[in-house]
Amino acid sequence: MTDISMILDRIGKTLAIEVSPHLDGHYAGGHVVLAGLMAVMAGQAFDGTVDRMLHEISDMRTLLEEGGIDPGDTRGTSMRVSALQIVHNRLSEKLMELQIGLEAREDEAAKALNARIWTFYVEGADARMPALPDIQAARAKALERVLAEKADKR
Amino acid sequence: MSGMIEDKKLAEKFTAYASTHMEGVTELQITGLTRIHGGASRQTYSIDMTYKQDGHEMSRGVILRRDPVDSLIDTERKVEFAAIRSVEEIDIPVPKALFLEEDGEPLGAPFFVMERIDTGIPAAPFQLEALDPFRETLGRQMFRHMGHIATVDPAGSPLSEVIDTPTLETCWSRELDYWEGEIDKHARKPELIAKAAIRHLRANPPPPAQKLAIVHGDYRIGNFLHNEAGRITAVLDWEMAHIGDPYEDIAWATDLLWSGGDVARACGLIAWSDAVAEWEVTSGLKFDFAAFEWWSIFSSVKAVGIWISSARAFADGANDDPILAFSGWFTHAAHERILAARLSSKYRA
Repeated sequence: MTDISMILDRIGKTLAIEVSPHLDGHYAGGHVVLAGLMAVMAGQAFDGTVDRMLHEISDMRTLLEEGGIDPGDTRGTSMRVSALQIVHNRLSEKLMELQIGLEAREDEAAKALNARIWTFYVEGADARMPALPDIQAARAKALERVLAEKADKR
Repeated sequence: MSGMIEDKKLAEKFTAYASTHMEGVTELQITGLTRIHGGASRQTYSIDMTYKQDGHEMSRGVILRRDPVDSLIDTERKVEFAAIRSVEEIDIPVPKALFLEEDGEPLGAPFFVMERIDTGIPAAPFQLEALDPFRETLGRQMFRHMGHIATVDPAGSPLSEVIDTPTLETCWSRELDYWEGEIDKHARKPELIAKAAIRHLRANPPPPAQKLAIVHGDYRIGNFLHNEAGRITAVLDWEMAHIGDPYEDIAWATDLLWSGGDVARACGLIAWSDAVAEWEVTSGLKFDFAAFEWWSIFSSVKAVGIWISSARAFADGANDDPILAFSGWFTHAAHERILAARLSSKYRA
């Protein structure tokens, strides 16, 4: 059985819907809800992450080339997410460097390319946004618990 | 209210501590001790106790906030304790701060104890419709209380004794420096959107603060209790309090993530014009959109900083609470999206 997305989706919903009510009132009950929601989210990400990262890498290469920065040779990169992340990080650093340079310029060409970088950010942020599983009680519980948590604050 | 004792050792230690720190108290017994949600990086317990005082049988509920045993952070409890004491005299409902113990010996880590307010339930930021028909009433109080907090003179306040005070001109840069530092310290990959937002904020600073004020630091729906009949009964969670620009609170409170995504109403509760009017009347300050806009974008940067810190704590194995993974994933993505949408409109015109 290799339907990873389906397995994670079903396990997650079992945890969030069937198991968590048995732990109502216990601190660990919140752990189960979150584990369930994240399993469903992971199932979605499993299917789409490589596609998303390849698109982002391609878009960043284009932006860098148009900004006169050599993106380097990314051919032959493994399709493992961990390998793609390394390339993604490297290109992201270069994109940040390009954008800082553009922000210091006043010419229209710089503004236009900076605007395209922002479009890339918007599209990337939309693509990375996980769809919260449609389990109302679990969603509300999880999000409220997030707001109770503010790790490593001042 | 009493019930199970989830941690018997902690109950024994707390009994010993409270017996010697509550004046005139004898025969103190813990009748309930349960851990409640107050965050993974600190432990929050609801405690019920009975005791005799001046010959009378008494019972009392308190909240214990303790750093984890392995925590290196020893200032949070002190700040929260001082912040609550700084606003005790103004017209907002806050729990009374009872003990602050900075010595790790009695309970294994520094802690503080405040009274438990049993009247009221937390307002749920992701189920705002549950507040109907009291949304507007609660919204008015929320902005009124926020305005009252801004009236407290921080000079000479207990809070000023435990943290530094910026100048009117440096409120913004101090906060931005701090949260950029947190992002840089904890980021596990390049944070393109947050860093671009920080550069934007530095290039477009806000006007100097109209005054220095006590800033709650986490003032929003979810951090107050209400009595289900339209009255706020407690303003909670003061551990991010500091001295700064009062716009920081109004901007944080109205962040879209905890306002149900409602752009038409402030905090998803009340018409913006009414919210601003309540705040202006009680704070004595004039609402300045430019200042608000800066602090509003800053709020999303600060939120990203919090979520990145959460993700780091989880990834490094410092804390296995799954809430840290969830906030490092879902809410981080949500605030990145908010930032990208807001700032792109300024650069794509």
